[in-house]
Amino acid sequence: MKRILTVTFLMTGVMIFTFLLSLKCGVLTASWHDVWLIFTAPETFPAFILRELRLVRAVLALLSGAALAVSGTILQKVLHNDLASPDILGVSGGAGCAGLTLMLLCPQYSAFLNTATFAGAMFSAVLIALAAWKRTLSPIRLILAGVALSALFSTACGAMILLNSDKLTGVMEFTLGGFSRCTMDDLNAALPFFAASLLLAPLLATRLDVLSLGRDEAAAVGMPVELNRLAALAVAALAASTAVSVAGLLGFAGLIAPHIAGKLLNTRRTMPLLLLSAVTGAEITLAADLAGRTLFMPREVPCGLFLSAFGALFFLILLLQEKEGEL
Amino acid sequence: MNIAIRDLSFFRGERAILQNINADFADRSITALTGGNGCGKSTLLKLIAGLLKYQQGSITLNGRELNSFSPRQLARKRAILLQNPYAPPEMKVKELLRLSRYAFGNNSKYDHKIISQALNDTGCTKLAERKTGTLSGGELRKVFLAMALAQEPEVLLLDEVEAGMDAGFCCQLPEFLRQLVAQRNLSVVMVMHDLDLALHCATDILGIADRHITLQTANNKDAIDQLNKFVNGTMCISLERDGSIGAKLNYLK
Repeated sequence: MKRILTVTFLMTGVMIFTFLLSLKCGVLTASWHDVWLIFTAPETFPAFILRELRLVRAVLALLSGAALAVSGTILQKVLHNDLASPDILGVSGGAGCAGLTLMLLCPQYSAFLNTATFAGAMFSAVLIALAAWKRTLSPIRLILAGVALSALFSTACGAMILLNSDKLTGVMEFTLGGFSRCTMDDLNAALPFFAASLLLAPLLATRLDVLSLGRDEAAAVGMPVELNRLAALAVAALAASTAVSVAGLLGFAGLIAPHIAGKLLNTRRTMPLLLLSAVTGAEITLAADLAGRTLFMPREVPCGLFLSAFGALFFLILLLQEKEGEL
Repeated sequence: MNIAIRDLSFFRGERAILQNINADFADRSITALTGGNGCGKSTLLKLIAGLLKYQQGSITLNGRELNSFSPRQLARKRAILLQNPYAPPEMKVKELLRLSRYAFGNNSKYDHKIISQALNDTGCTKLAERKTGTLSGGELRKVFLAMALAQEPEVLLLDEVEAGMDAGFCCQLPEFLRQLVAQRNLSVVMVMHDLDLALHCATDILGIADRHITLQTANNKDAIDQLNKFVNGTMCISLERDGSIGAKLNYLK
């Protein structure tokens, strides 16, 4: 319990610091006083610009990271599989297909990119759940259906990119995942969905613990298994779809954050895990976005690239440090 | 709590697993279900637990149809020790036990008392802080037995409770079950392969062969002859009285 509190407290501190740092740093370096003014006097000169440019972006990075991590945590529990991530629901595949179709085939509607990717992600999650349903909803069928449909989607994405290689501006950023095109309107549109999914997730915690025992044992202690699996999948799909709709294909955060959190906590109890993995997801996404904006100034590297690189490295280090006999 | 099964049939696809099962399990009885591998014992146990839905016939608990119970209501009436229960290896024993109280709403003080009691009854108190992945197979099954007891069941269903357990546990099992029935006023239905142990534990014995119940007897002095006839026909072995209430096994020539 002490460890859970300490780790969560520390990680939250690091996340808040990264958040403030993302407001301060960039092509135009602001002072801490300017950062302070963003919150206290948002109408004054540098604060106004920082708010429009950096605050929106940082808040979206934070929320997207948290949402993907929560989605990954839920899926790893429900599917009894440590390799599960939002991508297993075809969220990235579906969002990618919808996004690319819009950007490449009907660019005149590109204002609706977020709506289209959100719809694509949700649609593919529903499609995969339907494909997996056979009297009951079995985790392994869901994973297999997810892998198959994701392969189909990514083939479609590849074909579209190949056939439209002359109009790829902005497409790379979208497929790697990043926040450079985000505006206040995106934030306003996504906020209710983020709020709903992030607030619903803690209500699932105990149910997820019970579900992690498997179908028969969960039913034995009195849980309607199918209903709760579907509810958990719905929340996971909502969280991840909202995140990819603003951030592009950042699904990797959803795979890695729950594992980092699990290793730091040394417990797999769902409630603390959900909380810490949300904070961890937010932290790594913020840090990757900050690194992408500042390390190669004035060039900007999409957040997704750093996220995969740093996330994977950090995770490997944790894995190698694990003591023998520790589970 | 008494259980009545009437004309029960269960199919997987076209294949019949159980057909025309009729049986009664009285209040405070301990029934041993026996029969060859794959004869449908565990299926019958899962049907009584409500984990499988039957297509024909009826099962009633104290006169109320099993299908009319919600999963939550059912979890307050019956508990089952599965044959191969699973727990995530990182989960602590006490965290696992807490999940057995899922159907009971929140009353952490009472839950805590019940859980300690269940751990104590099964000799698992010292395992409470261990992660389930570090337990031996037998220890894990004892923990799951504790989990079933922590549901405060009126019907306790045990699938091969003796499997993987040490000799000490098996020796104490008859007394353990009798005390459980006396103290908690419950009925026990258990799948059991060890016929000697079954003769020591049970008040009633049921045998399943070829999708039907072919042996149904109280555990009295004639039981061993009937049981002998049953295992002769189904498993090509014979039982021999060992002088007390137990039996010895012989292979048939």
